[in-house]
Amino acid sequence: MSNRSVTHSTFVIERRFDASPARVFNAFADPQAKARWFSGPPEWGPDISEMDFRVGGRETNRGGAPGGPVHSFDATYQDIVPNERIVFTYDMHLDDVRISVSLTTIELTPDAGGTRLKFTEQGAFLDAFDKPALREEGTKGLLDALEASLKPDH
Amino acid sequence: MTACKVVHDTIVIERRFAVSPARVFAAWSDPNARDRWDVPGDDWVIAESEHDFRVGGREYSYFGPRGAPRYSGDGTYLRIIPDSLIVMAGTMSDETGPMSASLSTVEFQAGGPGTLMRYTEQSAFMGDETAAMRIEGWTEIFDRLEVELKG
Repeated sequence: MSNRSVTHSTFVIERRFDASPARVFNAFADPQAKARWFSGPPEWGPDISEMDFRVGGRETNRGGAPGGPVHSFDATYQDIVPNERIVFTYDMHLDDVRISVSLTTIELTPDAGGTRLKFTEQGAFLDAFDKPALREEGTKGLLDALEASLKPDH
Repeated sequence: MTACKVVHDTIVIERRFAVSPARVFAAWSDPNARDRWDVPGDDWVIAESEHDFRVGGREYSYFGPRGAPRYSGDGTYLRIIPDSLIVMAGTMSDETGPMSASLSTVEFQAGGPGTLMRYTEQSAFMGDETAAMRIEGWTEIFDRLEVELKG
């Protein structure tokens, strides 16, 4: 029990998408639309996920490389303003080990026919199993996938 | 409906108490003790509360000025290590809706003859409240915790 530690960190990622706030919001709110971008790398295979998109509702997503640890995402929605704002808290486990707890705020603003998205994550990283920089990288990868899912031909 | 701008902030408050980490931790984990100190100001009261102190358990209180409580804090315990760490997340609301969502970490370290307690709150403020106001509130609350620990 000697290697206990907590690292607090905040990162902000801003993106602009050529899609309306309603479409971007839907990519977070609709389980099928969200499944198109919110998942692990292709080699992980299909995730197991459930979501209940309302204040107090939960979302879980589990996946991982074959033979590797199971990555579990468990979230609770804290605040939702349609087409404008989503606030949720989530924790991440690797198998049975809780590696982080985070507060995430997504803000959507109309911008000349498109949408500006501001993603703010305030995290508590536990016992040095994960690093804020890696989480930021991972989140950028997810937002790249979100952008691809919003393309008209997708 | 127009959402106000969200302001993100992190506050850290450290306090040293002349008692063991186990005693400071117990002041958080024991519901009766918690109701004695976890409210700002001598003229404020906790009208209702639920302290289900286990991972996944609810932490709720309805509080405010005596006779007119109007704030509710509603959250969940996410990680607990006895005498060492508490992590919880939740929202603070008034009658008009949510004012903030916060992730709170309380760390207890044995230090010198007592305990160093470090409280870190990472918040998204959605109304008029600011981090400075939140610090003021916690400072009053931790003054009461200090009195509780002297008793």
